[in-house]
Amino acid sequence: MTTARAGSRATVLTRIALLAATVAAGSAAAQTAIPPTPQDFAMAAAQSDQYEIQAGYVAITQSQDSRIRAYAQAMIDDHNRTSADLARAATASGLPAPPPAMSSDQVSMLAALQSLRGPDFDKAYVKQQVLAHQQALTVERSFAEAGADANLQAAARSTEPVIQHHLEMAQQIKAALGGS
Amino acid sequence: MPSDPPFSRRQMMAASTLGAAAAVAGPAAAQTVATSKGGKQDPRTKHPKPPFPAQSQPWPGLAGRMDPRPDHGETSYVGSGRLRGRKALITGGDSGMGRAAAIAFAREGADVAINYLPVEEPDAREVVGLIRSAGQKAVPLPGDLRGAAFCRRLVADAVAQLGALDIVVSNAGHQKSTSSILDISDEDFDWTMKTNIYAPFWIIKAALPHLQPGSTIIATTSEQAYDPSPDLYDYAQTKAATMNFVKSLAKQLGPKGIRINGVAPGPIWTPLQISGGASEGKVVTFGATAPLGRPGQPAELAGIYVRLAEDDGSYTTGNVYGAGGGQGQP
Repeated sequence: MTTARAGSRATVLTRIALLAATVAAGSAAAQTAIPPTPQDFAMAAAQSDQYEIQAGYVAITQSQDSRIRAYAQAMIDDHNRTSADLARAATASGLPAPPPAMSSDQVSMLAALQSLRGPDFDKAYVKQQVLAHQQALTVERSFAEAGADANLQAAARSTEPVIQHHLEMAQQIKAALGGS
Repeated sequence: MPSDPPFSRRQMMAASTLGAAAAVAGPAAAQTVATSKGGKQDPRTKHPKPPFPAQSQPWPGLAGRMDPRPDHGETSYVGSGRLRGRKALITGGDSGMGRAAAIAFAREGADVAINYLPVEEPDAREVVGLIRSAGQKAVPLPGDLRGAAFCRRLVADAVAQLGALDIVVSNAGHQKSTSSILDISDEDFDWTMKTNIYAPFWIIKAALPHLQPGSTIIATTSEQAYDPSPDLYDYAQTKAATMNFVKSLAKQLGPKGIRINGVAPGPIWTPLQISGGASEGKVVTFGATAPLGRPGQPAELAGIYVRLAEDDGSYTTGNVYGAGGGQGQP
């Protein structure tokens, strides 16, 4: 079994936090990061989209908080769009459209959301959203700056500000919930 | 073909109305044995994938009211005499894997008794009709498994009406998702334990005196036995217990010529999930965690129950067969 399955949710979130810390350290760090290959970028971006869509569906069903439900609906709408843009860009470059899979960590995060209710759900969802968007931003930013495929780079450039906006929204909600 | 009861005209009409994939080979044949389906399909798109409509029904829920309706193999399962002459009792045979097993067993030539809760009668009636359309005897035995007296009566009635008993499928289960152990009442806990652990104990005990060598017992366990979800503290431990008793009883019953095995599903689209077994958020995204990107349908496990029941699988005992869409154990 994957290590992510063996790890606890806290471990998963810690790993993502460590990655996100690289982004938080400042844009200079991101600019010097080596961009992924076009195939790896497409896969990572598609995985992020899929996680955001599925987590969004859990949240619009499960959250009692109307701000969170509205945010989650925006995630579903926006990530369906970025996912379609990505697929078009990949096809234009002669690459196979990445399948709608999630990474093991994202699967663990989704599984955790599926088990939660009430305020515990809201806290966990928003915490995941901040971390997941920080990670997605790293991926999009590095490819937007120096990616090796023009079509995918264009997709990254139009997606990057969307992810940035999502991150800000998530951070606002987290602060409003009094999150740590 | 050996002598099977002839199809009545009514049964033939019922079979074609149901759109059964089985072609009728003639009035003397009770069963289809055309070529099996063969071929292959893309497993990702073969059945519905999330998101599903938000839905909930009061426990235990009806398959007939789920959206989309689960697929138990009604129009797809094709038998070939693998269980000819066998007599099966299936608990939870109205819906879910129990229903898929009931349909498959009947199409493989077995007579089938099904137990279910009385409120599940609408689903059960459909299953009874499908068993009879396959030319086999159907014995509906509704009742609540949570008492020893009923379980003993259930087995006695099954034996009396089937004429014998050589397959026991202990499949009925109670599942309630609760995020915190603190929110599980004594009654809730009892409900899960009585249904998932006590009833199998009472039923297997009652059945054993009737099971001749070559008989098989199949218990439905779950991927939850190996890697439990945090909101299934009570349910998951009963599935671990089930997996465990499959192995202890295999050691005990092997010398008596009786085999016992388990089936461990991943996320399967059944009324268990939409009547409290899963959070509503999980229902909407059910199966999204699986690498195949969707939940399983009961029809996709029918063949496992047949395999574990049939004589051809005679060396398999104390084993657990999984179907998890790529996630979980075994």
